[in-house]
Amino acid sequence: MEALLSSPVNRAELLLSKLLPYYLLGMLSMAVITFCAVFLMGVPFRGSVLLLGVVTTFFLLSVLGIGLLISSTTRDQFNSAQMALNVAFLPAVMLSGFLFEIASMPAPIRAFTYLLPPRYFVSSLQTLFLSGNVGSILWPDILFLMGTSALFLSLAARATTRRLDG
Amino acid sequence: MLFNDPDGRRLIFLPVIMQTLLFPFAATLEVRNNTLAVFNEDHGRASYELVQRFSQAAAFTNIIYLTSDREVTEAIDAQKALAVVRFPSDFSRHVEQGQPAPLQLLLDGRRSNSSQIAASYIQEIAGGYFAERGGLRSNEPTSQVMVRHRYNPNLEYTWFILPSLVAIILTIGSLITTSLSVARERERGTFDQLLVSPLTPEMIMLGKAIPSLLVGLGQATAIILGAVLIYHVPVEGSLILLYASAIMYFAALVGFGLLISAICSTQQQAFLGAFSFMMPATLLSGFTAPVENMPEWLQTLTWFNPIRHFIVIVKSIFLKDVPADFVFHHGLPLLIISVCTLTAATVIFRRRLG
Repeated sequence: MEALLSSPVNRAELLLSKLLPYYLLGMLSMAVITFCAVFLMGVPFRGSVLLLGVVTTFFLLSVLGIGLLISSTTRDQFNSAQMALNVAFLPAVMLSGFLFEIASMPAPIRAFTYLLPPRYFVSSLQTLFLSGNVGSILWPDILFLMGTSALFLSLAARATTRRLDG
Repeated sequence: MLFNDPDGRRLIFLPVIMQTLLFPFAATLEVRNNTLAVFNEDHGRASYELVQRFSQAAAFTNIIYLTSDREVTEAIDAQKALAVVRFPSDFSRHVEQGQPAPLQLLLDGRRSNSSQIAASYIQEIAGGYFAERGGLRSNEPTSQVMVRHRYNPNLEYTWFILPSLVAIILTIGSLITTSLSVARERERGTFDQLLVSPLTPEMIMLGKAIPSLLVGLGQATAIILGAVLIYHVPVEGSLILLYASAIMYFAALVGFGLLISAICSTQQQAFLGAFSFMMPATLLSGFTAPVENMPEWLQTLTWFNPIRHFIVIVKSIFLKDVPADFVFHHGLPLLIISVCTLTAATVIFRRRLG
């Protein structure tokens, strides 16, 4: 990290260089998974591939933002790993609408799910695969994912500066 | 060493407490606060009465009325409604004449779970309505099925879900602490000190296993207290059996954790290893879908999944008083898994040191 700090890159470039490889990795995984779903499992895909790319991009940006935020607020890798697993795994399973209907949850928890990127990703994937390009579902999902990307990335950027200054 | 770091201490207990407080409320399989769409081509009395009854159900707090096929498609596509009930134009006439009166129910297959549950509510309401009308006419006693759910008489989903959640929440902590432990020391450089010390690999492994076990038991106590005090889940079986099975479960988990730890040389690899274990283990544990519904070969594979066995034990101890041999029967696979993984971990560990 010190070596990186002394090099003449600015904060945005630093974050970007951290994001880009993982973003590409995520897109690649998504392509493999989609391929398997359609050709191996016979799941229909009725929406547009372009929109799938857009949705996945903003989802990845949001979760990468969360990842960067965790990594810049925890002190070592061990703690980050624990934090990441706790933040990513169970909330995505329990609160995304994947297993349990969000509408049936109590109001405070329903409000909390708006902060979770998986919520919008699950909803758009269900729609893109099974139903098609339904604008009234996909556009709000994409807008919210843009919002969570902006929120978590800017929080991560701020956390990084603080760490560098302090 | 695990407890020296205040961040680390917080990370061991805070997530467990938060998850215990949050998830059981979210984990409901009931359908509530949803929207039902009605496409009524009938306008007779029977259809209005039925819609009235639908709107009184807690599942549908909102009813929207549709007037065309296009609106029906749109209501489902855009998820404006979970289900559409369609009354054909001769519905009321058929009902008045005592003939079978079909009505159509359209569901959203993207939300297959909840729409099926909604469908059963609708069938129940419609069935009740027809039974009443039939009763007015004929007075013939119809046979009725009385359902009683043993061990969970009011079908509280919290009761059903909490035992499984106990197993899954506990898995995260102990798996991460063990699987990253060796790599962590390697990266910190303290591992070499261990190697020059007169400890055998077995003793080093034991030194890694015991703190994880203690952390796990501490977390387990926190969740069990929460389950009993907050959610009033009964603990019908014996606490001693519960802790005995928890120890067997942690032994199996620690085995997997140390195996991951022995294979991986950096913490990043170990983290991915732990995650690659967690995800399938959770999905194939019977928590999200019953193991009995899986294909034969997959069922065989789940035998190696410690979460699966532990969920069965915890559920039984929480909801019914099971004898010790039941716990032992389901605990045996845990012990076998533990012995196999620990042996494999030791062998790999020795070879890498060798």
